[in-house]
Amino acid sequence: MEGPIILKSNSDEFQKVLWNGEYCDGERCFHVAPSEMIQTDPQVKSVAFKIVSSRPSTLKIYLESLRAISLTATALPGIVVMLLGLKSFYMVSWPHFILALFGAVFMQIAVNVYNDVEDHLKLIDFPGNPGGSGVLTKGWVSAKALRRFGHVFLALGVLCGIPILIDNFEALLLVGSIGVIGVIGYSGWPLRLKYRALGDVNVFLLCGPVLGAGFSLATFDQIIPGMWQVSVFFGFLACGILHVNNMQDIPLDRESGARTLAGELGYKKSKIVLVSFYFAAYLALLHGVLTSVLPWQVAGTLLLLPVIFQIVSICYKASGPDSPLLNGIRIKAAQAHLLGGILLAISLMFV
Amino acid sequence: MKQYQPSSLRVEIDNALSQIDFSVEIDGSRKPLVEELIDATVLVGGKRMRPHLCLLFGAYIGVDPMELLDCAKSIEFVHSASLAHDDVIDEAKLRRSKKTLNEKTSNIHAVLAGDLLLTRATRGILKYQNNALLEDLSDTLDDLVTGEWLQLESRYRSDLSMKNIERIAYLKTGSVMRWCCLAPLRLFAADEVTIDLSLEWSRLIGLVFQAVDDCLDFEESSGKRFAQDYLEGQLNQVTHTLLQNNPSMRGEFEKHFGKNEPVFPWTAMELSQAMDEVRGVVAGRLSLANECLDAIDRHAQSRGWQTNPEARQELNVLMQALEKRTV
Repeated sequence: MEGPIILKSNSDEFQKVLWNGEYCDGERCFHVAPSEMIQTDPQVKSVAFKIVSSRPSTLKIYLESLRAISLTATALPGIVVMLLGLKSFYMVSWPHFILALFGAVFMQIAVNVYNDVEDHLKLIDFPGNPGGSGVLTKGWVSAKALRRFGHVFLALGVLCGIPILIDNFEALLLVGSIGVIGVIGYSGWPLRLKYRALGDVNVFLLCGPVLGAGFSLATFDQIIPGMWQVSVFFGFLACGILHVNNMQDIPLDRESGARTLAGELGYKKSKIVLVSFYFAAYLALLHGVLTSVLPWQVAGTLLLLPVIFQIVSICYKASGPDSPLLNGIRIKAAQAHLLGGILLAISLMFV
Repeated sequence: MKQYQPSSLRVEIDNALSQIDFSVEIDGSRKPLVEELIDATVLVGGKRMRPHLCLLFGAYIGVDPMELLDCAKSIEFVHSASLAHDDVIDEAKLRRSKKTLNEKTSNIHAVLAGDLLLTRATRGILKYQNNALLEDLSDTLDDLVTGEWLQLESRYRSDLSMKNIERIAYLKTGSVMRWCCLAPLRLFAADEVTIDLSLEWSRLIGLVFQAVDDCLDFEESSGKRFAQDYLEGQLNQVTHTLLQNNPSMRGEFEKHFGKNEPVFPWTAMELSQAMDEVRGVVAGRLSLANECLDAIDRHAQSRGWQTNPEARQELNVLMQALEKRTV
């Protein structure tokens, strides 16, 4: 087959090809991936699909779709909350903690996967764009199969939560419900928070207070002192990851009509917001120390500051969202979250 | 293969082009005469591809080439100004086998000469008393500056994404191509749909032009230094593809990238494969560009006017020439 396959974005065939990742010309079927959006019709945009000649092994595809590097965002807050309670001599329910840990990680995998699928269907992710795991933009897997994969992890996450829920029904039902609504509503129907400039709030709650409260209730059957402060710390660090991500995507999101905080504010003001996120993260810890719910040893997290300074300084040096200086910044922001969690965990061990 | 015969339209456009005096009128008493320097450097020996595209696209939508002469000249002036400034940034000594303006005089003179060309380009556009044309000039200059700025930020970086590379290509190359199409559309007072479709065509053509340029960076016939971008620390589409295809090459690549050392970490086979891939993308984009022209033709018919079929054929020839060019 010669040349790209061009389909109008309002046609049934287009929806089918985008969903199944396959194009059939009557004789043969090909794996395809959208390569470029073009306007060859006055009323509607068209999408050019390229034929994908080879796909890696199924295992590699699905492993890549997990975005393993991001999973520490849910695991670390849980570990830190557990250590915080342990050091204050609260009784740990180990089976519940393990289940909560796996449950949270499974939920995050589901979010990552659903997010990839939605961005693919909304034509936000194209080859060369920095977002997503890339398995859909490379045409390695169909959106249909990937969403099924997401369902599996959502179900696993819910399954992990059931035994904990049975033991602490009322409190965890509330936290769990917010979590599930947040997971599905981040990019999925009907809330689609990500596309309404509410992604940052959602991520803050899910990766911060909701996650922390969930872990605290599951592991200790109560909200332990200091939990809110460390959760807010993690929430803002997670917001940092999303925000630098969105700062790079400002032109792309505006073009596709997706609303993000960075997109609404523009690059210049977004830099200030990023600084505010990191500042607020430390302010939460400071509040914890001043109110004696956190030990002074959490000052160990100050070792994270050089990484944060690096992230902020790159953002300030870059001329705008298109700047190549921003390449890799989302990885740095994820590293800041990871390192922040490790430092906090180590600090608590020395109490 | 069927030999293409020059059409009467091509003769007409060539005649129109020959009527444009691509030299800067002497105005003032600056010594040395900056106008003469400009004429002898950035304005000499160019292919006048952009003025040609402007007149041809004009003919395609029904604008008399003679009406576009000042526009075409302004476009060439802006392009030449960008070359003068580019040579300063790149510290280039030669352009089209001749000494660059900065080499002949100094960086300061070259920057001022570029600025002068921009004022003359503006003056040319002002003759039309058309605000939209002036806005397009301003947008083009904005994009050229942004593109150059991004290119500076991307220098010595081997971690650029294809999106980064194409964005710079669009701003630095595609923006002038866009203007070449927009200028006649403004004079024609074209409707939004025709403008959108034409912009899409010019975007694709701009990207094609740059991608072919990136391939020519590795062709001996181009008259440039082999792998000049690599030697100067500028990742292009071919070197990006090379790195994508051969991740293990990165270490060695980064060791010599931008060091001006002719040490190349790739094999002939790897280079050829990467170039084939980029040329494949070029072919795909040209096919999309063709779709855009078809769409303009259809839209024109639906609105009760007709594009010029002879000019359409010439645009096809131009697209083929862009793909096959060797310099």
